[in-house]
Amino acid sequence: MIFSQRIFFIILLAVTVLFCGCDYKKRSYDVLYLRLKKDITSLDPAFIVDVDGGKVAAYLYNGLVKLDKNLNIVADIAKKWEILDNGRRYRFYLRDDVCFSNNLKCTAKIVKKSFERIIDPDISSPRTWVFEKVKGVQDVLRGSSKNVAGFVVVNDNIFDIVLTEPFLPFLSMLTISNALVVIADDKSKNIYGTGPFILDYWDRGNRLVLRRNKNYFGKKAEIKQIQFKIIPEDFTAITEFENGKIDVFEIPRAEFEYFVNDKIWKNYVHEIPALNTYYLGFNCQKTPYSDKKFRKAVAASINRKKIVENYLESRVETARCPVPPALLNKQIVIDEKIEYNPSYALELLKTFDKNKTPIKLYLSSNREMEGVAELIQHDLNAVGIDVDIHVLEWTAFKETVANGEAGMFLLSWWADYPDIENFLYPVFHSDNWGAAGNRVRYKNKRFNVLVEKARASVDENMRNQLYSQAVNIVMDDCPWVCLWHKKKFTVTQPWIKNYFLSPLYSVDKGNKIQIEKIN
Amino acid sequence: MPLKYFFKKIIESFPTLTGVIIITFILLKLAPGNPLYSIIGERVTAERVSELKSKMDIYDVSLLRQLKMYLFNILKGDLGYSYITKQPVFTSLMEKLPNTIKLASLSIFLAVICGIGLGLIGALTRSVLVDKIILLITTFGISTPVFWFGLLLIYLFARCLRILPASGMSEGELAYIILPALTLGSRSAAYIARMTKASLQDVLAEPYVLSAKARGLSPFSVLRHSLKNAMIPIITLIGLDFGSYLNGSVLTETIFGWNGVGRYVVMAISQRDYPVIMGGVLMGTLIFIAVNILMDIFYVVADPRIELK
Repeated sequence: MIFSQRIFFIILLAVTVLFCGCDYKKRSYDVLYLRLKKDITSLDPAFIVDVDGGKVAAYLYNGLVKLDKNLNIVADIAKKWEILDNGRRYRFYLRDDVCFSNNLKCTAKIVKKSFERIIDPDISSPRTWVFEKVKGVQDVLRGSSKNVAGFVVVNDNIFDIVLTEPFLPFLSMLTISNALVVIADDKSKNIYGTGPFILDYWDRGNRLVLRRNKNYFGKKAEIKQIQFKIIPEDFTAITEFENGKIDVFEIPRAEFEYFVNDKIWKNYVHEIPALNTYYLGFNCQKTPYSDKKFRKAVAASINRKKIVENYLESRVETARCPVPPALLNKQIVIDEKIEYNPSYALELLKTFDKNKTPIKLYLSSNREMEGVAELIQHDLNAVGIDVDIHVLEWTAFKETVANGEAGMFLLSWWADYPDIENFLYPVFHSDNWGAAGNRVRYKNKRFNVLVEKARASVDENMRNQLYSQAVNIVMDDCPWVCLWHKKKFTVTQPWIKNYFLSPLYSVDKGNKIQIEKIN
Repeated sequence: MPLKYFFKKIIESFPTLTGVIIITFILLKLAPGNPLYSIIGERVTAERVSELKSKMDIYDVSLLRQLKMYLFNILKGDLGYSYITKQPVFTSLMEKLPNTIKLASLSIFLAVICGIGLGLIGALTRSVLVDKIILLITTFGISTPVFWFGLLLIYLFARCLRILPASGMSEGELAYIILPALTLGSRSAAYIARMTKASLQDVLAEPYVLSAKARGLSPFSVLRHSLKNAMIPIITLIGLDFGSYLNGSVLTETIFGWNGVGRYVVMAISQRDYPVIMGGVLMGTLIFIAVNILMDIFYVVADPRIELK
């Protein structure tokens, strides 16, 4: 009797498990399932600072202009634009068929209000720099005015932006998440956009669901829904992908070999060089890093080829200069090269006292970067430089570097918009020391002048020449040892069609991707 | 008088709560890092950093004043707003607590069933082989890291057999909770099994059990009475584990993408989101105090000789 009871319970348990499990296997092929490693911080353009947040925002909202696959600036809410007054005035002609998800029509007045939100001192957006060149923005930030004089509503369909001085990257800057056009209610609780998708619901920490916007003015999305699943652990996410529960998956380092070599998956792997530069930075105001010779000696001691080919398994491209190759055109010629040359390093180091205390190499806690730091430590040891590795938590690391406490550190710079200026002005101009981007506290008056001129120049040839000179100055001064540009790798399910991988998070609007129906 | 006892316990818990708040507050202030750097992103000038700092409540007043303000707000039931999500901390914790309670309850349920079951078999069976098998299982349960065990279960049930989901909570289907609950409960089950076996063997060797057997009580009755007497250390163990699970299991919640309190608080720690960390710690302390009071009641139920004084 007891025996039969036990069997009954075992069968009951097994049936429960199977019953519970069967519904899980079903999936909808009208829904695109994507993975987020962690939840995004905000969907309010005023507060988006992370890549994932920017990616979701691109599905929900539109800007005046956007980027196409090849990173060219193309029309979005504005059907066309003109650059007037020798580059000081941008005139945007708005489409008249753009509606927000609350059914309001998009007018120049709404665009103005949306941009003014970013500047509004009551909103306290950290991204005010996007509009810093617009006339009247500084007055609003200082509190001396409530109206941004440079945002001009000409009529319902014409919107002008007036700049304080010509600034060519401005149009490109309008493609970033913080310049997307939205309607926000008084307390910013509800944000309405015009994108191909509408926020359906957001269960923070678990799921984010977007549904197709049937009234989208552009090409309507092929899929009904996008569901972002928050899965922090890579192994779990891989299992979900292999079980067909995630459609597009960014390949983590540990599984790179598996996906690119697997006889099925290798046909579905997508690769693109992303716009970024990983570097070893020196605080140029601190001894011994203030000496160009020392910086060059460190650069010559590091075997980047070994790091890239052996340790990073060629998932990256060796960096020639701070600017990623996709943003360098043929007119920008780089004279200086970083070569691995320990004997040259030893020669440069002759004048330095090697018996001093070890130098500190700061980095944020990250398994991959810790490995790189150890390889750099080994290379520098070989030329007689003792290195202590200091691994800090991310915010502590950022604070240490921004305050100038860190003499030598490993960091990366990622593009917000596709312009060479994005890799020169913020990171090397002396107006931007610290958290503003120039963490190496580099100062070179000639470089400053060249970059300032290049930013304001409307003549493309002149711009290229100026940038070319500026890049070579930085290469010669060596405030960064440029290490590599990271590539992006994703793998998709066989039923995913029309997928493209873009070098910038803001490019894909999600309206072209298709799911082939599976019977 | 139980009511008087509860009242006394609640009063006694105030110094504990205040102590925990003060210690957590001081530790957070001593820890390196700055929440501002989680929020501002790149390209923010030093002047703008100062402006944004002055707008955050943590920078414009002294530490003592901050602490006073925080304690005063807690009395009003206000745990503040997350620096990152701008959501009220209390609301966010309350949204995640049911998920943690679900996971903790099922885990402890599985742990109790399996643990006591294995413990009973171990205590009642005189077979060396069975004893060794139980020893092997419990050693495996105790010594296996939760992280590894979770991944192993995912590999087996989600990747190879494909009968259970690897992560998430979906719409709350039972299938999603099975693997996390098994992972979380495994270690407790092993401890409970060992404790049950040892405690029951001790009780079964007592003269009064021999006397009961001699008086002709059925083996089931003997076991029932013996088990009741052996329960005190087991209840303590269950209480401690349950309290700990209710505070959220960081590793299990992370591996299985379970949207619970543990993962939420750990994410807040990595982003220096002070209000969430403080709120999480406060809630955790309250849970432990509540579980301790509950355990005291269970002691009385298990052993009527114990009185609530």
